[in-house]
Amino acid sequence: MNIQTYRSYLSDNPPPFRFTSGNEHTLELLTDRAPSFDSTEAFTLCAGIKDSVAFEIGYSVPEVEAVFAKNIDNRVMHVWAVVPTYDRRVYRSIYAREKKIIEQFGGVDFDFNVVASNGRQPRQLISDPEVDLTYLRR
Amino acid sequence: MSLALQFTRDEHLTKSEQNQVFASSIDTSSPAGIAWVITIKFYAALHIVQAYFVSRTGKAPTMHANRATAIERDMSISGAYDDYASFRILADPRATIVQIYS
Repeated sequence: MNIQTYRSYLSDNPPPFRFTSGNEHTLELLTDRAPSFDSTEAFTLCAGIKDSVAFEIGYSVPEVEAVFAKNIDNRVMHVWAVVPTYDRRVYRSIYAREKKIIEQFGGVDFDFNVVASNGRQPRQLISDPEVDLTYLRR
Repeated sequence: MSLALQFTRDEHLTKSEQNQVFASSIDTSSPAGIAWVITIKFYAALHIVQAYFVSRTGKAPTMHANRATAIERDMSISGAYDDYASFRILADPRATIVQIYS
């Protein structure tokens, strides 16, 4: 499993953003909401982190149903991974991915959360309009 | 403006000891009692972690998010990340005793 495989997956399951040509770390949002960033650099960083979170936690852990993320606020990015139910093995797999992301993005603190959907639709669990759905398993 | 209270290392250790004494006084014959003991012991352990950060850096993280990240980035205690993440759900009111023990 690698980033190329993930890109292939994205072509079949497009998220609400797309990569702009020539820069794989720059994303263009396909939603109406304007990004709440002061600079293009911050927006690019945030989009890159969300992309990594979607890949590392959403795509790479088969049990994860969806991943939500909230833009960096006061140096903290909030992330929610939705799983079907509580399963210690799955949670440990997600923690391993969280640690990888923490090490990858040194200037950002992360508020990782794992939520058991227990049969509910992921979109019903997170109602905050400032939280973006970054990965949804189909 | 919010102001985060910073304890000293010794104050954190004292709080931890007080929490552990209090936990030992709780009746654990009911699930609610067990849940409270787990919660209090989690915060007792948290004060030890905070004491460690104060002794290392002069101040301790004030939010769970910053603390989890700081734990992972400190090689001396990064091995505690999984346990911290697991027991952090105690701070979530939706957590259940079944989740903790399963």
